[in-house]
Amino acid sequence: MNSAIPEPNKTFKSLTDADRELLSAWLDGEIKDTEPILRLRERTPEADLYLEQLSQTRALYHTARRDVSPDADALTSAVLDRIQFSRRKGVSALSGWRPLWPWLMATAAAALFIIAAGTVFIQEVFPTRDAAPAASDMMVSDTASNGTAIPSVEDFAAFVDEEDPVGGLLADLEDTWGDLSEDDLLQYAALWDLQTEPSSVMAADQNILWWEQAERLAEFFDQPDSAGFPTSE
Amino acid sequence: MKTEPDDWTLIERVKAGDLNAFTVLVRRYQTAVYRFCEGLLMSREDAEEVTQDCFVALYRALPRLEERARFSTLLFGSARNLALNRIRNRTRRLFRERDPQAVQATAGQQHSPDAACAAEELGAAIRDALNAVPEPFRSAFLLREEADMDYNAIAETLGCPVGTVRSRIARAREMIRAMLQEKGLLP
Repeated sequence: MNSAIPEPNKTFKSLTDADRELLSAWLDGEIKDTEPILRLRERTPEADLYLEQLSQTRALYHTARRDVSPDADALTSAVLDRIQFSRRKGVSALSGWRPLWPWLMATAAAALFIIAAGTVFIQEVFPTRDAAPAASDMMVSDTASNGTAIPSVEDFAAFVDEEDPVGGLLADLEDTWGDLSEDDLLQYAALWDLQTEPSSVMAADQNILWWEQAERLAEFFDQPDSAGFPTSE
Repeated sequence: MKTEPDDWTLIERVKAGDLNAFTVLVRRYQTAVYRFCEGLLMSREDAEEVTQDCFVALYRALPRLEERARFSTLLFGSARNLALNRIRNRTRRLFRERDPQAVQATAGQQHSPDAACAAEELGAAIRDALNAVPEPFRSAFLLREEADMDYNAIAETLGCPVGTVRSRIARAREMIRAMLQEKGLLP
């Protein structure tokens, strides 16, 4: 930055940079202590000459700049017009803050729509067991609506004993199951169906939804002569 | 005797919704801000636009303003930033539109005021002299001469020590004087 500082005034050889700065500041009324100024003026007559030149320069400058003034009324009006225009545009001029809630609402609505549409799309294109409706709910309502017969506890326990290689585990729970309502029992049956189904059957049955299997299980109980778990057709 | 409310009192009134208080504030400072900007920009048209921008920006920033020692340092600091931005944009535009060497050669003319005003010899000479004073010497000088700021306020506005302000103002005066002597306007 020193390169930007102009050359010291060569005219006043007896005045240092600090002296000239002091005199300039004194001219501006910035020096309260006049003692250094008096000493400087006593030391060299160039101090008075320098002060005189600065005073002339200032006077000339202000004479020339006297006409440099804005049209005050026009400028004030222009500023006020711009401020009021901002207000009319709905800009919160005082705060400099533009209302954000319309944008936030629109963004939130768009995000919700995308999420909902995406969920539906995924369920339609990639149906999975986990994504399927709750089997128990569907089964209960379906059986209720189409009047499918509800198996007795004895029938169900006998069926499990006969078909399940696990060894009649559920048969041991017969007493507990006997305390359940028929609806609850049917739900357990559906769950048992899924838990004990052989893997080969499961593989063949991959495209069958939970609730469809539960429905078939209910039909199975209605047909005592049928052998085995429902399979895909 | 009725005294004028101080700047911060007016600002509080504007915050409360009193637009007339803002008008008083604009009228109080507009000439000084305009002259300061004109001294930096060397163009009356640009100075008027920047002065407007400065007051509009002030109005929008009012809610965030907290009382400091001097309101004028905020105002003139903002005016200086806007003016220097305009100079930078103007220079970029000129360099895009013209041969850079030609721009440098005519830099003084580019910054000169409109032709009608240039007819006044003294006014033109003073502008040329001002134009020869580089930043930040010019800002310090203009804040002193046009905004009538004391050295502490100038230091606060420019973000530099008071000693630096004193030095810059003295150098600027010497440069202007040398230019006016060259033109024979000063002995």
